[in-house]
Amino acid sequence: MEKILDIKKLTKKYGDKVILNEISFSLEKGEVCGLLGPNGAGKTTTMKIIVDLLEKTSGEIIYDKDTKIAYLQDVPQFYEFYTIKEYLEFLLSLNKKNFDRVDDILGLVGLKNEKDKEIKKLSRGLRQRVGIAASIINEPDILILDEPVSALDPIGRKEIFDLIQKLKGKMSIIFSSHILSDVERVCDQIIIINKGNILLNKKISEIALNNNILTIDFINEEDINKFKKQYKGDITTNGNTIEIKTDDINNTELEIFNILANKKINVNSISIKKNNLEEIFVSEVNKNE
Amino acid sequence: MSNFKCLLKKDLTSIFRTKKFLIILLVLIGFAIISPISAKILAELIKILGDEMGDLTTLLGSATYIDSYVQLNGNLAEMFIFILIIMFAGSIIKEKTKGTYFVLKTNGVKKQEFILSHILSQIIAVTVTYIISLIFFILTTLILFGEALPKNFLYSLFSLYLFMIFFVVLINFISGFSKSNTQSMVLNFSLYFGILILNIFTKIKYFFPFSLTDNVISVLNGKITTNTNISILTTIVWCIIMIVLLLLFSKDKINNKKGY
Repeated sequence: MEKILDIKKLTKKYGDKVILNEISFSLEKGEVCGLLGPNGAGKTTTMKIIVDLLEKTSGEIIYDKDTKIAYLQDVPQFYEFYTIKEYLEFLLSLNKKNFDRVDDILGLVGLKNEKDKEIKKLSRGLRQRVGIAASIINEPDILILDEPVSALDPIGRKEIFDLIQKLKGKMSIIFSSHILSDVERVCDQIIIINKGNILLNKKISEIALNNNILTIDFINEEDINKFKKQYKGDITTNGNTIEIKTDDINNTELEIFNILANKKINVNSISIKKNNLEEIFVSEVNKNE
Repeated sequence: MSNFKCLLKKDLTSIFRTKKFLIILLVLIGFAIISPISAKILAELIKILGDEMGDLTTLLGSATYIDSYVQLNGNLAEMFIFILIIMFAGSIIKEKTKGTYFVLKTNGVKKQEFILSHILSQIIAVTVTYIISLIFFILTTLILFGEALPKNFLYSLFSLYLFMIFFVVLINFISGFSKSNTQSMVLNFSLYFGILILNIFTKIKYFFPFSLTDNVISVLNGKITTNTNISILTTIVWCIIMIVLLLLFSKDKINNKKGY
């Protein structure tokens, strides 16, 4: 896939304090990248440097000169005296575009019925949607969202992630979030950052489904032996319990159930521990602490 | 519509909808009405005191419609400038710290357009409100004194106008170079008093704008001197220098740990 943004050895220091330590990553066209990390990890600093709101100490940020980048900060700020519609029209007028897109964008973010409300009177959730509408109104190539759901309730979070899902493919998106289950749902790429260092940078397909652990508690040792004769994968035995690590949980599950049914093996319990993003995140950050 | 026109429209809308225009207008009209009234009251006071203590009018002179202008100068050069500082000290820096400036920047707005639209919108607001308030001032003076338009009154009112415009530019200049709204406010008030102190030094005072408000009586009595013209000229030069410096050297980014 075509790279749209390439970050090379990006460093930010305040005096002796290193905020970003030579981080490098790239973003591909049309992909969604989740930038994850605990508070103070350097996520916002990275984003602000990309959009040229903050000076970098060293490193390179490479993108085509025609690439349009939009940024939405964690607490979106607007000209509060405008109505939503007026604000979007103002942003379009800065780009010398007509106002035809306003209704489409308002529809996309679910603000059609609120368009004549003054921004200062909107709830946090609606303001977030206005922020996204304002960010995409001029059709950016890259959309950067800093904690777009941090202060929203579960319904508000779902709406914003649904919106990101809708935008996927139309533009490249980088966003930071603490809501990891949602990140897993919409992202193509995950970057975990802590103390200014990148701990993990992988495609979601490479990490989210890896290393699932299936645990079977057998009634007796005889059944374990029967099972072992049929199952060809790696097994770790611990008393009457076995653990199976698998990348492909669905097929492994199917295979196991077939063996148990065909050989009429009874078990006490079967449990699956999916190695989800949250565990990967905690594990990576702990390793770095 | 060019970006500058869009920004100017936005800044004027802001001044109107955030009630700043209304506040400035009401304050100016207030001073426009109060100034002739206080001049008249002062005249009455002198008369009453004169009746009791002898003829003070020979000592202090009797109040005339020119005293309305003197009062107006005093009120606008002090109280009104404070109000301008409170209203506009945060105009540029707040946009930078809040982040709205960077929405503009990512939409192709240049720093110069952003700064100039702020300054021009405020100048327009001050100009319109000043003109409206002058109508109230002249009418009130006319009603109380029977006369309202002394010789060189336009020159005097223009000097006062220029003095206010100088402060509009100065407020934006400081706002553009500050790191926070509080810093801008403190620096603005400090500079106001700093410039006021410079007015003590007679040899250099004509190179600083407070001298514009100093010569009201002599100007209204027909004495326009080289020094009064120098005051006007140097104030205009100061404004130009500040705008140029602001356009060239004010920073887009605030390199503090909080970022924006």
